[in-house]
Amino acid sequence: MVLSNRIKQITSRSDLLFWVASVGKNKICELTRVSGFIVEDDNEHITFFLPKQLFGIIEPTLAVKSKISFLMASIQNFESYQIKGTYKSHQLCKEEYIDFYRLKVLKITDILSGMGMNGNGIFGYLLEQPSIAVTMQCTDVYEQTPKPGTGGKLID
Amino acid sequence: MMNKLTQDMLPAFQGVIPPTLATVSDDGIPNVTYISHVHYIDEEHIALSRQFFSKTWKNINENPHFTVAVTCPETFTLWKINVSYQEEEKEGGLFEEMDMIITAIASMQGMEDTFKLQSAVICKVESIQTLVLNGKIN
Repeated sequence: MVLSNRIKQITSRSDLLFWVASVGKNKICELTRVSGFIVEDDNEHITFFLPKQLFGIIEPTLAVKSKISFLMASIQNFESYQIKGTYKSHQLCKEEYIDFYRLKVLKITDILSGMGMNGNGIFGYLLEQPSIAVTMQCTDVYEQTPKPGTGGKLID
Repeated sequence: MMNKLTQDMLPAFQGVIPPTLATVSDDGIPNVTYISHVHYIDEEHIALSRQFFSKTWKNINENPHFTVAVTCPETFTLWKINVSYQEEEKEGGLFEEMDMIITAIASMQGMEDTFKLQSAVICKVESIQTLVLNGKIN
């Protein structure tokens, strides 16, 4: 599938938090926070970034074409989307990507601090290094913003 | 790895930082979503607030083993809790208590017209893993 403009535009936002879920052989989910993501140029893949230690949680569940799901949600208005797809590859995160998502994480911690919370305490670990870049092929996108009837496939 | 909830985890169930829920369909596709509230019942049981989740509910009925992540707003510790579905309550003391909490959360978030508790989903804790301890990856 080709990701819509709405999802592509989201990469420029700085109010989003991310999770990824994968499935072990026992059919139990592994789940961890993610530091950031980009949409690849082909608009069919995304690459997300997370500390290597957190990647270790999902790594045993990943094989080529393993099913994974990626969640993004705004901490300001709860707008949220889930991208479903398959694992493609992973590699050590490049410095340019670390610089990219570091700014986003710092912005999130600033937003939380503005809400009277210790943003760095809550999410500072997302900047721990080394980090891993995981590429997934996208097959479906669902809107999950809390509202009646939510959960449908995103078509725009 | 633990299999019982401890006292130091209780602040994570106060609704300050939204919990995350991951379920798996019968054909092995994960589904991950935020939920409004995870309620502490006792050291071996929690209850999830069921409001919207249609896909999640379908998955839970296909595969009763799933995963919840909660964060303590005081120590910034993040736990991943593997649970199994036990039963659903649509009335009674637990439901009413959770309904009041959901109403309060909705009010704080300006979503009074959106949030409505359908049921309390009671789950047994199977195992607990600490992913982040005091703000550092564990």
